[in-house]
Amino acid sequence: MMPTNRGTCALACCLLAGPVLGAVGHGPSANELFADAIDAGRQRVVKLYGATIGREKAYGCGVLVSADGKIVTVLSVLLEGRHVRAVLWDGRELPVRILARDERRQLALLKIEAGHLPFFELTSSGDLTPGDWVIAATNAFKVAEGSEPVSVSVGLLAGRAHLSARFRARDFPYDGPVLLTDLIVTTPGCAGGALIDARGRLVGVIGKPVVGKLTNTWVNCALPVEEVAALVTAGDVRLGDAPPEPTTRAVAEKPADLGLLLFDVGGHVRPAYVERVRPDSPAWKAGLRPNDLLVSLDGQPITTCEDFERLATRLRAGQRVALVVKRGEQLQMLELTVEPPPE
Amino acid sequence: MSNLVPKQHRLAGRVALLVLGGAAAAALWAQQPASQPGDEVIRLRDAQQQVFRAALRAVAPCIVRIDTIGGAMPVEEMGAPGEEPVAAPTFRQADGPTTGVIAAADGYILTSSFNFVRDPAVITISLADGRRFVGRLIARDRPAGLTLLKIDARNLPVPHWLPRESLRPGQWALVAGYGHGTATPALSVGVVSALDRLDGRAVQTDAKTSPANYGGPVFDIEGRVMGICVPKAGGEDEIAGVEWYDSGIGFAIHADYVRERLPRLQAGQELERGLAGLRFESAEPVVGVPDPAVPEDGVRIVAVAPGPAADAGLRPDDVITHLNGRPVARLRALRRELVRAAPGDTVQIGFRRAGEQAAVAVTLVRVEELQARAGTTTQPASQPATPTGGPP
Repeated sequence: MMPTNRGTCALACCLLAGPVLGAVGHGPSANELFADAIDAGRQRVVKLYGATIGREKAYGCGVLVSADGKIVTVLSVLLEGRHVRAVLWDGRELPVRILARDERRQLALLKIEAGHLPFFELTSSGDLTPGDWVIAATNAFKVAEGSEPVSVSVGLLAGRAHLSARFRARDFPYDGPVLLTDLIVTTPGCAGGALIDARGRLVGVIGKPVVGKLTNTWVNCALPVEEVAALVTAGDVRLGDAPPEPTTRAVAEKPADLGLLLFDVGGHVRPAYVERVRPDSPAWKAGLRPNDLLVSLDGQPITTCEDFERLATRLRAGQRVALVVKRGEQLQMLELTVEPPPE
Repeated sequence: MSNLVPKQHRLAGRVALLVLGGAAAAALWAQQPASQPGDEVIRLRDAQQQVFRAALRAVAPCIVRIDTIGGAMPVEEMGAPGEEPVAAPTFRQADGPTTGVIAAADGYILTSSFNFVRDPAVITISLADGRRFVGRLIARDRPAGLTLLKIDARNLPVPHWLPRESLRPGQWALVAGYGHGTATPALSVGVVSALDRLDGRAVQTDAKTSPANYGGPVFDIEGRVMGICVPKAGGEDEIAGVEWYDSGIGFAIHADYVRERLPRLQAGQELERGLAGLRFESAEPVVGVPDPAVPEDGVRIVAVAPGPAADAGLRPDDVITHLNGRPVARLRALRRELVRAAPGDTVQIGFRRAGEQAAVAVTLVRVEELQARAGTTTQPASQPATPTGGPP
């Protein structure tokens, strides 16, 4: 079930402005609405070609972030090729050097040897609001050949969320903020492309095609430009082909003790029912009682014992958290103060 | 959810325009004195964005977030031992939040049955104002793929429903849902692609519908609700059709249909397709226009299974001409009428036999009753949409 291409036909969106303009009789034509932004995107997105390994595609995109040829793209096997090449908007084809790899964000900083290039300023996506126009500039399905410009699509910023996703059935390491769009940007060749606002500013870099854990469907999203800027800043300091960073953050501290034992019947489904509460423990003081069903912790939904255990390991002494439990047919809102683990 | 209310306030403060129509957007632009084209473009773009945001703001109080706990779990698709796990090429149910629409001020919530395939043990409903309740499943409309939930709340905001008659293909259509875990419903914009799809029940849109917003509203630029977003099929297989979700083909059950069925769902009635036990012959081609040589004067019965139609005296070769007093010239028209009838409903079937006009009352039954009376050898309940056979 690969997403189907929406490609340039999404420009139909622009044409919808037709009736509105028609009522007025004159004024900007519909295709002028995004003309500046589209020009900006086409000139500042490069096509990348590299190695094919397994099912991963050998093509993608990158965004120019400096006049001297720094490019940000996603981390992928494309970059493992011996001859990774970038094709600019004017058709120039240049070899690519890898400056830095960001395992957590799954981004890479590349360099081509060129000067006086158009590039995206790395500013902010903060004033972009759900419902605002966004434009994707990508090489979806590799349809832009040679010096042909990349494809643009027009859609909306759908919303903002924290990513919780899988990439090829493995957990995707990046769990930070993303910009959601109603454009289809999970097709081959979109990753590394630019998400641009109506004024032509870069607001995000389109990420790898991941499947969201919440929906089990493709998440059409981009890493906000702030994350891109963080990589570029760090990448300047650490030039060269850096080794991968560790992706897991070690939990050195002993997990907090809440005085709570969940009812564990084993099996595939383990709803988080409370079996026992130790008197005078943090859970007891919060008002938790046996047979309560844990529903959420600080807004994070709990559907299984594993969910709770995972969330509980992040708790630290002194922290106050909001717990929602189902007791009978009512939801109870409880507040729990975490205490240090017993010696 | 706790940060939802402040966010809305912030938005309300930023944009003074509360509800704008498309014409209003044009007017906004037109009022400006002629200046540089760049300014005009910017103004029009901004006006459009404000319209989308205002539409979401208008409907957002009627959109709820649904979380479910427990129930049947999806089967993990794992590769052979030692191999990379299989990616998620086929659809599975997920654990994330889903979306619903307030249907009545006293706590009734409508959503897509898609969200309840797993028959969850616990349902919680979060309102836009942050309040959270335990939800109970009241009833399902199986042919439409809708589920009605109830929470113990009063004076809830209800949507402004848009009648089907007011819809026009090509007009803006927006869809919103909580599936991605956003604080406010995530938005997609498109147009109305067609009306009366899925046996006349649904509006079709190219706004992006997916598990991220099934159960949520499809609405116009003033935040008025056209329908409830569902996967293609509904009914017998609630998750069929999800593979269409990113192709610009989405469906929402018409507001008219929803409102018509709501009282029965509120009464706890499980709505299924009501069947009479009839098979029809039709000269209608699957595609294209009917043969003009074939008179459009009714639908000929080719078989009558043991069931209510047989009990009422209908026989093969009878030609059905009216349903509930309204003429039905073609099978498609008959289907559209009958698809809204549930088991227990009595329909007046007008028919012609040997040139004589007559009418009988037939009380429709459930699939299982028809199967039980027919035995196991025949399958009168199957409902192929073929030119030679059709329900009921």
